[in-house]
Amino acid sequence: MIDLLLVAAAIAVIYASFALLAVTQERNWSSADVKKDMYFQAINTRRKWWLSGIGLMLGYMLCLVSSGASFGSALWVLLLGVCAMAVAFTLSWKPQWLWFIFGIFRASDLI
Amino acid sequence: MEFNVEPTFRKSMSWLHTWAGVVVGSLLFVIFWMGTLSVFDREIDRWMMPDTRLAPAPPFSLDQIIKPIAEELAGNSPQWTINLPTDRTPTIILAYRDGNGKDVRRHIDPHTGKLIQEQGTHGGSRFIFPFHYSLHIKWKNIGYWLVGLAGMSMLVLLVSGIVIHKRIFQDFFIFRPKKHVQRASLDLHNLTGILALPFHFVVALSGLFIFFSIYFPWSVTAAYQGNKEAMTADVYGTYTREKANRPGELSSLDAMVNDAQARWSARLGEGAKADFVRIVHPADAAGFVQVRRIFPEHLVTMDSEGIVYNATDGTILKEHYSAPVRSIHAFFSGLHFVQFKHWTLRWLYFLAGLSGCVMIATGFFFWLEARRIRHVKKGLSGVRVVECLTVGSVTGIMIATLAFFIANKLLPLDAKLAGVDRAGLEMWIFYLVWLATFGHAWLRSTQAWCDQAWMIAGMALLALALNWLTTSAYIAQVLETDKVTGAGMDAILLFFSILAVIAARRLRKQKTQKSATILTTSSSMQPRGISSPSGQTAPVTWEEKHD
Repeated sequence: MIDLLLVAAAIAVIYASFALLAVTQERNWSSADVKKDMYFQAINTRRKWWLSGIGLMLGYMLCLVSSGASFGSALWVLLLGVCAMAVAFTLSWKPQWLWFIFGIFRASDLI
Repeated sequence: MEFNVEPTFRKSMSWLHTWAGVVVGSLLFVIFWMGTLSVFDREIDRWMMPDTRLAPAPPFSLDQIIKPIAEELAGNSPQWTINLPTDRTPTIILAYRDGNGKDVRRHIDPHTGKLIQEQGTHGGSRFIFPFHYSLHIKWKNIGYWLVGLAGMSMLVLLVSGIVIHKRIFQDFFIFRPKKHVQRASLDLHNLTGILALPFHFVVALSGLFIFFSIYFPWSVTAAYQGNKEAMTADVYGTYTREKANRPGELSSLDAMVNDAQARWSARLGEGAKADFVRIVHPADAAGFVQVRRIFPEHLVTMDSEGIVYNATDGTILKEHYSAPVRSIHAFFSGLHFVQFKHWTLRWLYFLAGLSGCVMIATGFFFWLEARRIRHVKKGLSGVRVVECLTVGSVTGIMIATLAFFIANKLLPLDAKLAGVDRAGLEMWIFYLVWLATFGHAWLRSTQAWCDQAWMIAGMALLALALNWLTTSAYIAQVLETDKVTGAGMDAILLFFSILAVIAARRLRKQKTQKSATILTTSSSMQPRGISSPSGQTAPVTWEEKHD
């Protein structure tokens, strides 16, 4: 059970990291409606990149802890693809959902 | 097709990507589709062989259960192989050669020790899985070579695709489904190609690794002077010796399996279970028993250990552990075979496999849409030929697979026709239906996409309904014993049916828009019988997309 929770946490962290990475790209702003949020635009993009990178590494750690070195690495690589596609589909069909992710980052004072 | 030398490296790669994709795309899709299904080959087996849907195997004795059955059924067989039960295959599988020289596989219930009635199917593990790596073309290993060629082409397509994609990072998350089909196809092609790139690269490369001795036979020639037996003995730990032609009594198989498991556990520092036993020359004084752990449940690396025992007294003849280089091969093989026990990874493999199918299919869509109007204007038939091949290899193989499943549910267990047994009939139905889908694609041209999408939707639902109708007490069985297998397969059929309905509706909507556009813009250019499905007047090109 704890393994499944760790995998779920890894999925959440990797998805959030890609979501943050997606909004650093200006061409995704209109679809995510980020232009309304001037504060978010003003944040240093490089800091968001670092945060995304740290999030992806954290996801890797969670995969390693849940499944060990071999399975954990394979799991992480596959989750990168699946979560990135999930972010792309969110941007396509429900971009407003990404606000929830931004809200978490803002509330945690990370950006 | 023009063969002029392209002026830049990127344009050369674009030409290579386009034409390599068109030439091997159909074959690649078939291999990817069968590979994706093979991720759940054992679950498909359970679905197609209802009598083997059993609760996990309890501890049992090989000496008490297998030995008497094998001696009765296969006393004269040169060897017996026994696949021990796992979580995904709850039966014991005994394979041998009968008096007519025919290879036979029988399932044995480990709960009762009784033979299970022959299920009359090759199922997922003996039809779909071998199709993935050999296309069932055994003559001169042609099937292996074609698959190897496709694997190598896949690597070329991936690398050339990266080179010609000018805005990988800018377009990393771009998918515009509401745009016209050509744009949406290209977005989806790029998305699935780039985001699942590591998976596609590793499966293509590891597929080539697995059959290195076929594709790169010089390793055997150079290091072992062409002696393949010496190579397999060194690398895989195989063992052989001639029959003594003197009677011999088979010693305890349980003792040998227990001994092997104890040795591996002591060496690895954790519990290790044997999953395969082979008894060669069973009733001969020179008989020997090979115990292996081919698919460890908790490791990616596969088939690293094996011990050979003297059949008559149980003494060890050979103990094999993989050398470092072979361990790398075993690791990549394990990554490709996905027989380990990790359900999250298994589902991710399935999704990544589907993304590969989407990548190939959308590449075809883009090619077709980018050329359709131009070919019509010039009176060329290339689009129609490629479209026929694409429809047959994309939706056609899905229909053939569903026909294979439906035949499994409709054919009586003792079905036989013109000397072909039930398992053979299922395969014939697969091939004939597949061939028919190509014919349908040729006759119906662009309409075939929509027709075949509806066929997939209907046939997936029919397969699901037949499973429920023909499997007695199905719901109770699913709940009591085999929840994941039974429900998982049905859930996937339902998912495909819904997906096919969505695709068919989208194609119909597009057809309506197209008809309106054709009437207003290009009706004068349309020869009879050929029409543009999307109706756009300004096709997107690679350059336009990437500039």
